[in-house]
Order: sequence, then C-alpha cells, then structure tokens
Amino acid sequence: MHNTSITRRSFARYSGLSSLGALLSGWMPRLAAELAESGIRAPRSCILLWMSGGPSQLETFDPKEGQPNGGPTKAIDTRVPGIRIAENLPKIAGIMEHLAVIRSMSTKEGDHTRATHFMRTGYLPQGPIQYPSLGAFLGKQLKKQECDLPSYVSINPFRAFSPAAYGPGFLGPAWSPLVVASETDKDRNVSFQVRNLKSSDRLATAQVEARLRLLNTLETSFLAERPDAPGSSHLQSYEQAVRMMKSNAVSAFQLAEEDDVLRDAYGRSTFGQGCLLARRLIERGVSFVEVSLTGVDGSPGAGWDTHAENFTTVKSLCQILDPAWATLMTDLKQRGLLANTLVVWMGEFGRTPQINANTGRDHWPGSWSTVLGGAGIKGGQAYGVTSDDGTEIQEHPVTVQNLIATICRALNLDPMTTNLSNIGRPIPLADHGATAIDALLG
Amino acid sequence: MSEVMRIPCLIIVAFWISSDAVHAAPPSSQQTAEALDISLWGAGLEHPLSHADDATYLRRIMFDIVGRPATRGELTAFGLDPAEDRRATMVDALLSTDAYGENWSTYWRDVIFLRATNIRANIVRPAFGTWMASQLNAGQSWKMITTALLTASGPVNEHGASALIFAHEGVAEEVSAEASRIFLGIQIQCANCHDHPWDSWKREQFHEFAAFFPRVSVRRDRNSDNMFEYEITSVNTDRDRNPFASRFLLTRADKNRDGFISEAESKNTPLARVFKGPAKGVIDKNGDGKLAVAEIMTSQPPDANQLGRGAAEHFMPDLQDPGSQGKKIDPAFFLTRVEEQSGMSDEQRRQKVAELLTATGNPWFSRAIVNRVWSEMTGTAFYTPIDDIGPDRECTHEPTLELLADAFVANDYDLKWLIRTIAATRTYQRAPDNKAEGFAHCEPVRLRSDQLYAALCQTLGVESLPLRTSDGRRYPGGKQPADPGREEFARVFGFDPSTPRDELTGSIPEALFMMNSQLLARIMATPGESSVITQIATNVLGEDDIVRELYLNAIGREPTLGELSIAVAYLGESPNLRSGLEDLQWVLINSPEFGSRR
Repeated sequence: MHNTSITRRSFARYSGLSSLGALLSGWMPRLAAELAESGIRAPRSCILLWMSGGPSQLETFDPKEGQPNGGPTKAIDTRVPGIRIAENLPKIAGIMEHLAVIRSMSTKEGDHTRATHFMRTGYLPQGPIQYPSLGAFLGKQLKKQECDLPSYVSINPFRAFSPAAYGPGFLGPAWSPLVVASETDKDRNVSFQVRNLKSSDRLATAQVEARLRLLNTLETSFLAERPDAPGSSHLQSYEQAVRMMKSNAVSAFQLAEEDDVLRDAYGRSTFGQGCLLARRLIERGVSFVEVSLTGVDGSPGAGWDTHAENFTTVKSLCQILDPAWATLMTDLKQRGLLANTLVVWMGEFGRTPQINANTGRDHWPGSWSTVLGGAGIKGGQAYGVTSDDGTEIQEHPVTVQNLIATICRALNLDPMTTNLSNIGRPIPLADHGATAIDALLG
Repeated sequence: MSEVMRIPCLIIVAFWISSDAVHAAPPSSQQTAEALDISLWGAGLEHPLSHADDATYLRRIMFDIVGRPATRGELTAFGLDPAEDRRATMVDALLSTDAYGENWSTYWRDVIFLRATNIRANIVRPAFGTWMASQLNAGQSWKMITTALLTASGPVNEHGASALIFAHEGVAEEVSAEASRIFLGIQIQCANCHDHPWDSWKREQFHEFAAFFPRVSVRRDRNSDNMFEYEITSVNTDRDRNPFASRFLLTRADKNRDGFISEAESKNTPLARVFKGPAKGVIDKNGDGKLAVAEIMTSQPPDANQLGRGAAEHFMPDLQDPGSQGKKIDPAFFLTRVEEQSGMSDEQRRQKVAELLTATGNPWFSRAIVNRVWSEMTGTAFYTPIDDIGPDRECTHEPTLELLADAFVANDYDLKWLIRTIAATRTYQRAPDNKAEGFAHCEPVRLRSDQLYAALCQTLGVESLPLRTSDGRRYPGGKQPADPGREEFARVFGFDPSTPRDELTGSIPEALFMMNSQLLARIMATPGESSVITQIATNVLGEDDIVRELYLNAIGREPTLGELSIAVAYLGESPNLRSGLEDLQWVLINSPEFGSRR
C-alpha cells in the first residue's frame, strides 16, 4: 500500500523536464486505483455535455408517443425495464443503467442568454455579482495539483449567448477555461488545438529555451531590486503556461494515438472526437471538461434551437450525440474512470410540447429533461414525471439550484462551500437553500 | 439613516477658503492637491517619500490620461524640458487631446458592458464609445453624463447614452441595481430577494428604487426594417406585449381595409420581415401568406413569459407565492427615504431618479466617482471594492476622501479637474516603494486591455494587430468594428475595471498569447524600415545604448546596471545581433512591467 503524500510528491512538477513525464501522461486511473486501495476517496472529475440552443425533451428523454404533442417520434425500450426514451438514442438506451434521467426540470427562464447563465452558473444574472461558470468553480474545488493542464477545459464552446457563463467570474482569471477549438481538414479529419500553445515555427527550441532563461534571469534581478513590482501573479501564470507547454499531458490532444475502431465508435464528428478528447483530458487529471454540441456540422451556433423542422434536426443531432455519448460512458467504465467521473447532459432549456406551424418547437423552461451519470449517481432511473401532454410536472419538480447541489454532492463537494465574491460576500457553490436530490445519489 | 447625509467637511475646506469669502472661486486643482497631501501626511515640510523620476511620472500620466505609453521621443523631450511646472503642463496638454476622452470612454464602456446581461448589448458599443468620448473631451460634468445615461430614450444606435439601460434590456431590477452600483457605489441588489444580511437596506427599499424604472421599454425599432435597431421608449400604460406592430401601423399597412395584410401591403413597413427570415411563420401560423390583423395583435413573442414585465408599475414578488403578481410598489429613494408620488410617467420617474442620485446633498454620488478615479490612478482606494461602498462600509482616510469629493462638487463635477488634481498630489507623484503602505505611493496597476493593446502596437511599431477571430464571434448587424484585432485581444485580456486590481492575476491564455502568438513573432522577426529593432539597431551605436533604447521603447525606462550587463552579455552570446535583439524585445514584452504601470 502506498502512502498518498509520497505518491503525490513523486509527480514531477515539470514533467517535460523529467523522464517521468512519459510515465505520467495517464496517471489518473493509477492514482484512483492506488487511492481506492488505500481507502482514501479519489478526487472526482466532471464532463459536461452542453447542448447549445436547448434540446427537445420530447425527442430525447421524455417522448410522448401517441399524444398530439408527441409528433412522429417513437419511444423505445432501454436496458432498464420501464424506462423508455426516444428512438433517436438507441445506443444510449443500451447503457441506460449508467444514467439517471431527470424529466422534471423546471426553471422559468425562456431567454437564451438568461437561461444559459442560469444553467451554467446556478444563478440568475444579477448586475453587480459576477458568478463563475460551473467549470470554473467545480474546477477550482476539484483541482489536482499534479495536473499540468488547467482545471477547466472547454471544447468548441459557442459563447455568444452569454460569455459570462463560460468565464471564471469573481474567482479570477486563474480559473478561466482553456478553450480548445477544433479543425476539420479537407478529408474531414477532426483535430484539436490550443491557441498559442506551441512556440512560433520560426524559433528553434534552443532559442525558446534561451528566451525563457533570459526572462527568468532578468525577472529575478528585477524582483530583487524592486520587490514592489506586480511580479508574483505574473510569475505564477507564466509558470503554469510554461509547465503546460512542456508537459507531456498535452499529448492528450494527439487523438491519432487512439485506436481507429474506438475513434469510429465515438463518431468522426467534432462532438464525437471532442468526447474522446474529454476522456483523454480526464485521464490526465483535468477536473472539468465540457464538450459543446453546437450544430450538425460542428460549426458554432445554437443547433438545438429547433423553432422549425424540429424532428429532422433533432434526429440529425442525435445521430452525432448517441454514439459519442454512449461510447464515452463505456470507454470511461472500461478504464475504471466512470466511478469517479460525473457526466452531465443539459442545455439551457427544453422545447414547447406544442408543435408550432413550422413543425418546430419553441423555448420551454417549464418541464424538461437533463441527465446525470457516473460518479456518485444512482443510474438506471427516471426521476420526475410530466403530464401526458408534456406541459406539466406531476412529480418531483427540480430547480436549477437543486440540480447544482446534486452535481456538487455527486462530486463529493459540499454545495454550501463558499467563495468570496467580487463584492466581498461569500457565495455558495449552489444558491442558499439548495438541496441535493438524494434519490439521484448512489 | 441621519449619518448618511453628511455635512461637508468644513474644517478642511477652510484651508483654502477664508471665512469672509462667501462667493469664493471653487478650489483649484493645485490648492486641492496640497490640501489632500496635508490631510494625508500632515503639514510638515519633510515628506517621508521622494518624488518619482520624470520617466515614471510620464508613464503614469500617459496611461492614465491618454491610454498609451510615451514614445521614446516624448520621453526624451519631457526629460529635457527645464520648466519647473512641466508635469502640470503635460497633464493639461494630455487632457486637451481627443485621446483623453477615447481612453476613458473605453474604461466606462467596460464598466457598463462587461456586466451586460445580453450579448445584444454590443450593438450599442460603437455609439456609446463615440458619445462618451465626446462628452469627456467636451468637459461635460459627471452629473450631466449620469443624468443622460439614466434618462436616455430613442433609437439606441443614435444615442450612445442608451448604453446602461440597453445593456440590461430595460429590466427595472437590473437597471436600478447597476445604477446604484456605478453611480453611488452601493450594492443595493442583494436586498432584491431578502433583507440585506450585512447592510441596513431592506428588501422593500430595493424594490422602491427599482420602481423608478418599470416603464422603460426596450424594443425593436418599429420604424426600421433592420433587426439590429432597437429603441428605448416610455410605456406609461400597461403595454400590449406585441413585439411586432402597433395598431396605427396595422391600419396604415392594411391599405384595402380587408382586415388582412398581404406581403405586397407589408412592403416598406416593419411588417415586411414577418414574411421572411426567422419571423416567418411565427405570426402567419396558417401559412396562407396573409396576416390577419387579429393574428398579429394576439401573437406573443416566444420569450415573453416573464411575470410582471410589461406592467406600468413595479411589483415586488411575493416570496411565499412566486407565481403571483406581488405587491405594487411606489418609487422611493433609499438614501433620502422621501416617497415619491405614485403614478408618475416614465419621463418623470427617470428625471426624478437622476435628480435624486446627483443631488448635491447626496455624498455617495461624489464619493463613488472620486474613489473610483483615485483608485484607477493610484492603485489604492478609500473604499475597496470601489463599487461596494456606502454608510455601512469601512473607509480609510475618510477626511481626505470628503475633502476631494467636496472640492469636486464645488468644481461642478468636472472630471478633467479631478484627474488634474489627483495627478498633482504628492501621493500620485511619489516614487514606487515596496515598503510603503497604500496611499504612501502609487501601487502598480495592471493595464486594461485597450491600454495593453496600444502599448503592444506602439512597442512593435504597428498600427494594429490583425488577430484571427475566434469562436462564434458575431458582430451584431454584421458591422465590423474599426479594429477587430483590438476586440479579439480584449477577449483574452479584457477584465472588469471595477474589480480590485490585486485580484487580477494573469491567466494562462494571456501568458501563452504573449509568449507564443505567431502574429507577434512574425512582426518582431520582420526586418525593414518599419521594424523598431531595425530602427534602433541602425540609428544607435553601441550595444549598451541599443539595449537602453529597447528598454525605453518597451517599458519606458532605462535598464538598471544589473539588467544592462545581463542583456549585453546575452547579446554577446547570440548568433547575431538581430536575433539577440528580437530575444530581448520578446523578454521585455513578456516582463511583468510591460503589462502594468507603477
């Protein structure tokens, strides 16, 4: 049995400078296994699958087959007897035992901007207070010191609705997301890159090293003469940036290292490959990864905002979502990561049960669905019930605050842990009065 | 509440006003600066700290007034100026350039827009920038600027003053919370949902303040076909929430009076867009290509399900029964506790709230702005954070703050006077000193995104940085900003200027950009006459002096002896002078001094 502190200390700080680096690139599973052996709770991680625009609950997790509001969408059986979901998600139906569907979200915010802010921070936009995004505050709480990468990574975000809902808010820039953008080449191969992570091609490695040494020498000399200078925070961010540049953990972005069969299983879409990247980042110790499904072709936007042609659009989106998400769950499970990785599926709101004249569905925050799975979640259940026409919640309405509290608890965090806000007041992770839903927790 | 309205601090005012001079001229910047120094440091001739050198002082006032560093030429000229009053002269000269208003308009733009609830707010950014810069350059008083921001109406693209209301979509609770925060420095909004746990404000007082704004309406400009044109109007009756048309418009458009509007009839009216684009089908539900007047009048925008919106009065939600309309609240101001008459029109309400906020007897209006500008210039504040002050907050050096606030009021809320005054204090002119507490010197201040962008361009000798646009960046109305690179840069380096600067640690993406940006690398490596490195290497003889010039060019000071020897040794080991100089310039741009000013 290992002593935890020794294990932790053994991680080289600058893995790029150390031969240990190569060994460490996928250390999370081993750390988790070691900790489990020692009886210490392993640090948890979270993957958010963000459905930009607001996904229809009726074509995903709360189908109303045979009802006038149900439209042409059929329901199918899942691995869990009694739980039926829309035919658009056959692979998800096959892993239902890992998922807990919440069919009774009720949020009252039907505007993209306000709803996006609400779902992604747990708070309504409120003028002066700058609330941090889920990724920022959960990333901060779950941060693993050994990890060379930032605690919050955002893959292909579409931030235009509410930039603040993707930011660190009052936690400050140290907790801002590392944004990863995808590129698709002419052969439709998807790859990912972090902006400015690599030095300019014009510069030889030796020259980069020389520059960094000169910067360090001059900075040390400067700070010795002028300790009043704003050096410490500057040093800190540069240290982290250089640590990441040199880290083997950035090999996470080399998706070509993965088996082609597995890559195909995720789907060769930007979202599918993004989910694969999420798993690789979680493996390397990143605490919070979000992958956005923004449109059928992977372009930034609000793809789920199906005011027109709801049924065909949602079907196309599900063809991307279904293999990616189902493969992510099984892949995490096979690697021993699912027990400590929470997967959250949600958008900013649901869609109107009533079908409009453009065979579309409009914004509907009254009764809609979100899904949790993995760490701490009791899978294989549907929580909450909506009426036959889908317009009312008949059982267990779930507020945003309680959803956030449940997410915190699933991650072994106390939802009432506070951070000091920009106006000097402590703000809890989940709003005052929020309570986790025990039935969802394993 | 009696201590809220403080009597101006007459004792200190007496320093410059003799008791018999009833109609004395308002205190000058110089007089006030001396009085401020005395109130902070006592009247003794021996001040504990020395003056900053000219280069440090010039860097401060350049960034603080015109938002960029001094050029090498400006540094040399200022250093050679023998005039005793060269500092005050330079401050006056800078305050009379248009760059002053442009710099501070970006400051206020960030104060307002970084808290905007909807991305749509960006539509009005250009108009706000132009308007605010012209107000500042014309020397408009802070009182008048505040009044304009609170009472604006009309098409937003033509009225930059509509920024504050438009940024919060005219929602009473949000506009009032921001008005209190920005103009009074008081965070009243926490009383929105519950009585304030730390302050004396009650929940009802917040809603009384919000009741000045329920009749503001932000809507698409009905006289325009452009979907990015909005207007701020007053709605003094419970409004129909129809987003598309007024009865007048319908009658006008329905030329043959058959109760339907055809696509042909809709031409040249705002209704035309109902037949195309995203609105198609929202109203014309049966898709017959005609709009029944009844169809239009009953249509509801899909998002208009927010309770109480659209009412001509403000209602305080009932916490026990959130679905109900709540309790009707009449306007009142939490600082004076005088209730206003009920049923006032929007125009009357907003005029009234502007008068109440900017009243001479309201100390928080002048304190908030004086504290804010002092903080921006010196890096320390009387109240921290600058937007959380008020009677229940602790103030350091309160007499000094009162003195400055009162003199600012006596000078008719003149912002240029305020900057000139602070720039003339010994506190502002002190040398950087790590051992001194705040107020004894200027704390290092992190540069705002616009200032840093200007510094980068100037240091590299380019007009702008053509940065590649990142994800989902859409400019409302398809209008490209004048310098898209500056906007893109702000996505990485922007921050809310109301945030205490010591909390503004750098981020990893910022460090990665400065170290590895391909664009910066390309600019630095491009030889030719426009290259600053080429210019310096060609015109300056000797490596020592070349290094000195590079330092002056990048961070506005000469290297210390230690730095000079390290840098020269480095050049000696470099494969050639050019690449060594590129390395040194890279190091200077990445140094902590580059992104801050002391």
